[in-house]
Amino acid sequence: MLERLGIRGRLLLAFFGISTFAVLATAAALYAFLQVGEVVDSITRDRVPSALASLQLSRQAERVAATAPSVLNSTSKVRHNEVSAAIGVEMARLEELLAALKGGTLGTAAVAEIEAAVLGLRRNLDALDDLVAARLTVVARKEELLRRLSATTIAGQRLLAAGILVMNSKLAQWRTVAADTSLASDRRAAATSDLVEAITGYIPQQRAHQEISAVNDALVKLANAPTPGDLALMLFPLRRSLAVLEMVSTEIDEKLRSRFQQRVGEFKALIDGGNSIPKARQDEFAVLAEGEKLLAENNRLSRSLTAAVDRLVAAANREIASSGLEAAVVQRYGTGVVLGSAVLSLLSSILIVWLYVDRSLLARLGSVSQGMLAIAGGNLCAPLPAAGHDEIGRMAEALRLFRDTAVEVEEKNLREVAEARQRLVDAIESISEGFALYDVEDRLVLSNSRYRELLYSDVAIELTPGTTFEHIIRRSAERGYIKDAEGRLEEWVAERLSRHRNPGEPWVQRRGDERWIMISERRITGGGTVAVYSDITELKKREENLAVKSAALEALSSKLAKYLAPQVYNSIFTGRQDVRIASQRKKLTICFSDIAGFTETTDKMESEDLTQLLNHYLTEMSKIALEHGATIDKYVGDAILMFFGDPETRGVKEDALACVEMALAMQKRMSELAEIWRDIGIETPLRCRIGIHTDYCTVGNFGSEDRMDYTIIGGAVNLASRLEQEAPAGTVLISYETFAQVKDTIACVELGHVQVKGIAYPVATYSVLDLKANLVAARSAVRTELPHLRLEAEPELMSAGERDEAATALRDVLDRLCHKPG
Amino acid sequence: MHRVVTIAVAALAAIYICPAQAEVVIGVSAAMTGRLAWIGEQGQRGAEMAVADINAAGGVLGQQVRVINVDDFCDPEQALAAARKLVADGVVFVVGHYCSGASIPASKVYEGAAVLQISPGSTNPLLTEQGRDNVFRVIGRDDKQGIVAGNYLADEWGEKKIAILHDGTTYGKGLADETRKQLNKRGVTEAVYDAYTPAKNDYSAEIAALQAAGIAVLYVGGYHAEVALIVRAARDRAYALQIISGDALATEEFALIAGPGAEGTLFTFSADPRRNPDAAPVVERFRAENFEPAGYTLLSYAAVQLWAQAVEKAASLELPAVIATLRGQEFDTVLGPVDFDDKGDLTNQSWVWYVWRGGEYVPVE
Repeated sequence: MLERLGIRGRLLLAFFGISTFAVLATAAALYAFLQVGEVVDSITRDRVPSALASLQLSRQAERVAATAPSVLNSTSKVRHNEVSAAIGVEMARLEELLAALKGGTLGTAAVAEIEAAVLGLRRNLDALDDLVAARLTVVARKEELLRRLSATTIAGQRLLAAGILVMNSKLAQWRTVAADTSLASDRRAAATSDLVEAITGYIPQQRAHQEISAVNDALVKLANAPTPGDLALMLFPLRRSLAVLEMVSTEIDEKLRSRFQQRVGEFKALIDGGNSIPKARQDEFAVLAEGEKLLAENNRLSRSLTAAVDRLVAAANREIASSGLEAAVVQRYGTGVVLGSAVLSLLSSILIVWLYVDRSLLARLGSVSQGMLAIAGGNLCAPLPAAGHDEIGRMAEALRLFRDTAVEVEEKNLREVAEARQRLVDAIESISEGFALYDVEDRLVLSNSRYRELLYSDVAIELTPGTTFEHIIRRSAERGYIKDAEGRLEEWVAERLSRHRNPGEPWVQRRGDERWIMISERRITGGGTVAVYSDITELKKREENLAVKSAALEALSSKLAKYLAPQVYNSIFTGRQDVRIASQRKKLTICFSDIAGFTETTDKMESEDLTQLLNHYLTEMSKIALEHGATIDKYVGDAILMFFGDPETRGVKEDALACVEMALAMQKRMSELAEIWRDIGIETPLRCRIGIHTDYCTVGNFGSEDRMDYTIIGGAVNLASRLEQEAPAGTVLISYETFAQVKDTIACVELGHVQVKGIAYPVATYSVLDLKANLVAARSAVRTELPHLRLEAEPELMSAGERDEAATALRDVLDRLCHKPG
Repeated sequence: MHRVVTIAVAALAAIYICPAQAEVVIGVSAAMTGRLAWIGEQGQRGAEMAVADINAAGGVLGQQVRVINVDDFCDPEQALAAARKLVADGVVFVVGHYCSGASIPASKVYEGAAVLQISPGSTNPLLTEQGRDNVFRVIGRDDKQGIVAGNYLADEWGEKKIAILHDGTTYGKGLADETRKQLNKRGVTEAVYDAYTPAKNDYSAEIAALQAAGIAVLYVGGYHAEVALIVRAARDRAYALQIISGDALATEEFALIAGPGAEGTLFTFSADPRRNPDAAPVVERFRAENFEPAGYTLLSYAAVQLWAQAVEKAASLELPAVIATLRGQEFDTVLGPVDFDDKGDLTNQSWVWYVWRGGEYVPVE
């Protein structure tokens, strides 16, 4: 029957069983807590408020009792009102508390007792309040009477003041007269009798003044008499004073008499009768006595109230204690029930889990999960649990189906992989290049047969997959397949490995069998390297042939270059200038040089010596010309035609300046060469003449299509030639046009005009001295040349030691010159 | 329910604490004791009667008026103490003081406390010349009184020897100097001008000196008690000296001290308000109490009347409103119609000659 329920049903049943026990336990706990709560609630609801209220009531009663005496002490109406209101508030609060207490559950007998006490207190306080009001009235009346007493006293004394003043005046006059001994004795006697008369007349007023003061003082004292007994005692002198005043009033000046009697009447009213000061004081005493009584009553009531409240509080405390005991019993009982329920619930849970859940559900689930793990791990033959009707049984059935499918899929995949691999091998085999694939660890994975035949036709080199790259190349280098590795095996292997690991552009390897292989290597994603090897031996051979031919052509062209001006040669070979007949007009500086009297000088020379001399001369001059950037047009015997400004120009002025500087350099070199030539036996030094002119010329290629000459033509060439002929040997002669370009830098001397054929006007000529800068420096140099003496000295350039040596040498010469032998 | 009870108790308490009817407090400051006590009594009686009449008619602005009396002893220092006491008691108005020497220092205290001051007796011009808005008076100024006295001396006694004495107080010296100024202005020079010490009992020596100098008429700037003693000293010597003085002689105590010698003594005072027919009921009530409302009595009564009327007209107890009303309007008092100039002085000041006859003073016909 359980089988039919399925796992869901069975689990539900199990949890329901556990929950039932839990609910039972909770219900029991709840019941216990409700019981405890009820007891506690009855305490807080019924007993505690009553007890607290009782306590408050007790405190409030004490407060009222404590405030009551201050009512009696209040001396002004305002103060009384304040205190009275304060007590009213306290009393109202007390009654409020009492009302709250009556609503409670305390014994009615106790409450009734308290209520009676509070009522008594209220009545007593009201009486006290009335009494204080009465006392304030009495005090106010007394004060008013005292004010009247003061006014009456002042008014009475004021009436007497005039008479007293006059008496004082008389007395003063009498003193003056009595003291004045110059006066006659009868006059002084008259003054004395006058004074006596005045004194007699004013004695009643003096007496009245004293009595008024006495009455005033006695009444003021009486107003504050300490006991009622003192009142009667004080009245006697007052009445006697009053009798005196009444008697005196008849003797007062008649103008003032009636007013004086009025004052005496006022005094009488203040001393005797219903509105007198003694009566007011008496009333005050009565009120005070009544107040004391009320206050005592007040204290008694307050004490009885406190006692009643204390009893009430004690009763409340007892009830709270008994309720507390009751609550404790219920709580203990409740705790037992809760603990029992909890233990039962725990036991039932353990039994259900152990007997049912663990045995019949978890064990089967475990075997299913083991089967799953085995299949996932690739073990498709693992045992599976038996199928069943419940969820786990169905799960086992599903697992079996899953395993069968997995077996099928695996077989299909293996087939497809094999096919793909075969296709790949076929494709690699079909390409003409060698192909090799190395894995991350540089082990051969795949290679085609072309790879072997191209690189390792020797069967001794193993090319099975898994062979390391290093092993392959090391073997091939050892067997001498690699030209580059000869004699440096380790080094080469290291280089090759580094290149293999960081492949770059394709590169070419020379093989031992004179073949050239282009190797291109690539890293592939996921590591590993692909290498493609191409045979480029044919290409390489063709390239070498071309290089040989090119070198031959270069040698030929360098030989040909010597017959041309370097500039022309460069222009032609760089392709800047075309080799064809063409010309253009340009402003050039043309320079002619030749050796003066060359024919005469060389006439006696052998032809070989002459050639050597001439070549030496021309080589030296050409070197200087090329250094200064001249274009050498042609050599005509010992003459050289050069020009500046084509094919390259630096500007007309710079060209002219370069030309003149070149001419000066040539002359200087000539003077140095003269010594060399003298040493080899040429007696007369060869001296050079140079002519320079600047003007427009036609420059370009002249001649036929078969043979051309790069040269210049024009009148300027003739003028330069003519200048050269005019120049004295060893000097440079320039035309005015050239002079105009160089005059800032070069020092020249004007020599006069020459007539040139083909030029209508005579040409101004200038002989070049030197660079202006050199001229200044050269001035200090000493130069002398005699048949037996040659002196060249530049003292400014000498160091101190050199000067000493030079001076010694020169002194030696001087000594010998001056002291001729014999 | 309990809350209602509490509120009711609180409300009752509030009613008890607040007085059923508010009261306004005013002060009377005068010399209640000493030699000027009679003048003080005049002031006190006049003010109290006025307040009683006002309260009987319903008070001011519906509030009852209460009077506080203080004794300034006619002393400048005491006057300051009196003024401070009144201010401390919360008065809104002071009747007083009487002596100029007391009024002038006290006026500063009142001004500082915003208290109205109306003096019924201080005649020294300085009182209203200080520029204090709160100060008024219902009696004339000594510069006018001095002119009247000076003219009289010049007209009637110009040919005789005239002496002028004063007691050195603000009032006495001020009045004597004003009189002397007018006398001199009229081309008459006094034979003697001197001061005497007040509060002495005997002035025989001063009188002897005047007699020796052949003085026929004496003008005294001083208070009634000293003047009376001077009169008495002259009488004792049978010295027929005409004595003339100022407003301070308007009390019957002068005659009581001077005795028969008071006969014929002249002095100046405001026109006697007792003769004002409108004042007759008030005068009757004073006499019914066996009190003659002479001297400053009715002036004090009028001062309170003025204040009460001004408060009613301004409908406010605030000082600025009361001052503005006092300055701007005319009032009907026991003195007759009254109005004030900008300084707080009476617009119409009258100085009338009185002579002592049979123990009381009567106007000179």
